[in-house]
Amino acid sequence: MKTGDFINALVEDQGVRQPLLGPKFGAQMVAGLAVSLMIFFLFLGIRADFLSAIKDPHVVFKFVFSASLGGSLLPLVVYATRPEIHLVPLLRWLVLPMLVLGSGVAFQLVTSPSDYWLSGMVGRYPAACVLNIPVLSIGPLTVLFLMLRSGAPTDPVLSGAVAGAVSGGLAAFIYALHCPDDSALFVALWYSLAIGIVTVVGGTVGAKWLRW
Amino acid sequence: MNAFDTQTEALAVLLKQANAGDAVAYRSFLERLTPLVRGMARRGISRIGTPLADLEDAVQETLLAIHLKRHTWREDQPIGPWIGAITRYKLIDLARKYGRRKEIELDETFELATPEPEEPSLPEHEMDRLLESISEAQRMIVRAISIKGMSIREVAGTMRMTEGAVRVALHRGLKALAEAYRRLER
Repeated sequence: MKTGDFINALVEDQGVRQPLLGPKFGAQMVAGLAVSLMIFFLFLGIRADFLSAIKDPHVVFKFVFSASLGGSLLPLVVYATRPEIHLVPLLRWLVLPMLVLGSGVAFQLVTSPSDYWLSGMVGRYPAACVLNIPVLSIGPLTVLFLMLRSGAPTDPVLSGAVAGAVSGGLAAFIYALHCPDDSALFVALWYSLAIGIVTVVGGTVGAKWLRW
Repeated sequence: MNAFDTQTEALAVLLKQANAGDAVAYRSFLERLTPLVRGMARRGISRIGTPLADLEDAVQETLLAIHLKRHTWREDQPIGPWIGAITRYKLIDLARKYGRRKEIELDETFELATPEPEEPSLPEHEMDRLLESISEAQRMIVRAISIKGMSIREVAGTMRMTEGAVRVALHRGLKALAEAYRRLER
């Protein structure tokens, strides 16, 4: 087929095109989070001592860390839908959650005697953490992948991985409402591992599903 | 403003009008874009080291990709890097089909593209092969519109379908073609 002829087909397929990111995306993201919250309230629920626990800076740290990770990388997923934007230099935003994590760990080491470091790090429910965070990431991960698919990500693996990290961060924020392990060392080890799992899943799925 | 700026500025204006629903502007956009994509594709192909026979196929696949992703261009952003990035992405696809997995050095500076007319001596067989892989109705519709130059309304009349159904089949057919190209191994 001649290229000039092929253009005829493209022109006939033409129509009004909406820009990629509208209020629709915001609504989908809310829906994605709602799915994860529903799973959360069905199977886990907020910890019984939440109101007193939240006064403890170690507990607050869990939320600040998760939110800083999800928040600093969410714009990258949006950028990843545009083919001309290079993601790698934007990864410098990871510095923000890293600083939060570093400060949290330092604070933990200063505020607790060294005898408690190991037991705090291992925690009481590490397996639940590593299992629940990936499960809770399903809602936002689905929405972010649908957005990336309708976009034009030129680095499918990295785009998928970043979507995974953002979803993992948001899921960790939700899980922190339930999680009874309050040591920052626990967060540094098990939250990171759980979010890492979602990141690897995102990258793997991205390699297959985000090509266009 | 130099010649290149004028050229890309014109493309930007045309795509903006096209995305607002102007078919005449869209045809003009594609006709101006094609020789530029071809220039870029030729440089890419010589750098990857794949046969020049693939040139026109690469041009058509790139045009198809630009078509299906045209909503990802943001009107407040320059259009050159956007076109360059999509063209580069499709050339990497081509390199991968030949098993060149090493990181290919392909610049995406659309600015360097010298416009090139279609060479009648070069074959363009891929699209015909790909057409064999999509559904019969979709294939008939794509062929009637491209080769015979029929409009959606005319196709609807001859195929006894509603215009809406033809429109949907055409769009699905084009998406299926892009999908088939991606799966293709050489």
